[in-house]
Amino acid sequence: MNNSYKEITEDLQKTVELVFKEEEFEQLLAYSFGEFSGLIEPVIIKEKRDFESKKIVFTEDAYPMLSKYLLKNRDIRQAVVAKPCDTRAIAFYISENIIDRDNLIIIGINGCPGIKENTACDECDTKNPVIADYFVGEPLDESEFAKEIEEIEYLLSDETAEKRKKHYSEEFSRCTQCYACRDACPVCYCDHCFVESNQPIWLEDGSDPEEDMVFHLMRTMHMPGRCVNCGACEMACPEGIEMRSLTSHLYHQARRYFDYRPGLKIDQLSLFSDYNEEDPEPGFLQQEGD
Amino acid sequence: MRVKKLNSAELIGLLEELFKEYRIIAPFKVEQGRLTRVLYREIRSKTEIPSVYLKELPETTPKNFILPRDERLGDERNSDNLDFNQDKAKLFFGVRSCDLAAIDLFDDVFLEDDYQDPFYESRRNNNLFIGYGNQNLPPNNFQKELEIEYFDHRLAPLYLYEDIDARGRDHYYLMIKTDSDLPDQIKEYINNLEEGKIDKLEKLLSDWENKFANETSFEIKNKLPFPEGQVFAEVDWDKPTVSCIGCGVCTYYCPTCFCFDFFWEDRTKSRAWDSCMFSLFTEHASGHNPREEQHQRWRQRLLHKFSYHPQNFEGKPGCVGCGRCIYKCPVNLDIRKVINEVDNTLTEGGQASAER
Repeated sequence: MNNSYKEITEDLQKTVELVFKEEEFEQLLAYSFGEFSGLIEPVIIKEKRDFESKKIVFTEDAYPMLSKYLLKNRDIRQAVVAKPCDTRAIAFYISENIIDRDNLIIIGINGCPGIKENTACDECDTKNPVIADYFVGEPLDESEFAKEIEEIEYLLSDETAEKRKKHYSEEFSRCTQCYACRDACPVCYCDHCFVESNQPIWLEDGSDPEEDMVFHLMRTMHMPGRCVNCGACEMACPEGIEMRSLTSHLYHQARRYFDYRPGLKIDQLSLFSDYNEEDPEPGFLQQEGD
Repeated sequence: MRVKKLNSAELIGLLEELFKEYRIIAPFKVEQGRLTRVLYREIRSKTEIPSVYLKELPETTPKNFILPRDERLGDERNSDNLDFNQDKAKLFFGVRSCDLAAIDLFDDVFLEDDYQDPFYESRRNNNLFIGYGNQNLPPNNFQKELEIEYFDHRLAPLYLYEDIDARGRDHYYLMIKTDSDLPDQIKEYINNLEEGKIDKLEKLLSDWENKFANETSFEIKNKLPFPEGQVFAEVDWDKPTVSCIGCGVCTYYCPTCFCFDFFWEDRTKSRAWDSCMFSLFTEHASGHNPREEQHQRWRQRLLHKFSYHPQNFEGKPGCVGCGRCIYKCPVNLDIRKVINEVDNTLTEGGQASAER
């Protein structure tokens, strides 16, 4: 059984108090309710005197990825409340050597009950933290969430190329080029993204369906072996664009062909450094069943 | 001023009459991807009229039709390219007072004596607005703090009120401030509606206002404009804005954000919305960026709305308090929290301007 949000919140408040007592760190990343809006928002607590454990919460709306905020201050010691998908992003950061394990105090959420309306949670294969220093909630038995690759279904997973193209063309026609999907993604952290590059220019100014397709496909191309399938991209999209199945497809394909899932261990090689001669070579444009 | 009472069928009848004379832009509830949203759309056929959905504040605003996201401005050598399909006047139906105030603000900026924007003007010409209000305060709304009335605006000669709990002819009230610009058959349709009592409507509206007053605890303590130099230098901008991911959604859905960028497609000049929340907004060709950090971009956005704009336009704020930036934000960053930080800094500094 998944833990309830209430149980997790109660446990979390106690654990965070303990962390404040026992650990030395410069800031804590957590969720709280907005003072005026009542909506859940990420908070970064720097001073102990600003801290009230009762304000720290975990709810079904806690979709922003706190792991992403770790990257803003890589050089200081930070404590973070981490959903299991956050812990995978964190493990991925450590495996990529972009953040130091000793600078992190990870408060991992066991038996994550998932996030409302996030379709990634339906495919979730990590409901306990893969790495944590403190745990809240009861762990789930792996048999309850581990999925065989054959059991996994996702949007358009069995559709023809034409139907997929039609779906994405329609969806991307609403894209406003805010790039919130990129900004919310925990594993999008290039110092200089191709979107902002003006030498060369990858994306022209103005709205244009082809440019929107270029952006989304280029983003997707950067994702195999990185995407931890958390669904943050789709949750962040203000236009409700269903784009997650692109990256999700690559996530499942990497698992199918190479038994590879990013962010499961901190000493994992990246998908592309992990070549061996026995690897299948499914080919770039191979269709299912070829 | 007159008041008429309508039931749903009579409202549809009114819209059908209006549809003969105007291009009507009205809110609809639509399914898009994983979201159910309320958006302004142009009514394409009479059969769509019963689906007009008024109860909730639409995510988009008339801005999308008056200052479109992406607009071709015409050939470099031929500036007479102002053909925007103006065969019929445009009617914006069901617009809240905060969104009407935003159009007023756009007029200040784009139709100012010294700088008249012909492209804006050509879309803004020949517009009619019918206002709307009901007993539900839209989420995160703080327009009253910016001195915008809930249930009236001078841009709308007609105003529709929906009493969601009432039935029959008590469901809608139409306030007619003036009908002199309306075509005759519409005047006639309105005249044939049942007469309502002005004092009864006023009582209803004041009840709704009292209800709203209990629903919002936010207040702006200092007078606008915020003192630019002091606020720029003394506020800890990083503290309230630290969760910002820099996507610019707040500015795209904002009814008052109007910044745009020019670019060329062959010889055609175009403009598209831009956003001060993007790093490229201020990046120089040299690579130097005077607003390197996200909190500096937030400082610009807040100061533009609450300091620079009121300085330039007789104290009027550059924000209408509609609340869209708050609930559309992917991390729910609340602009009221940032205003509060400014307020507190000014008050702590002992230099707070006169209490409102």
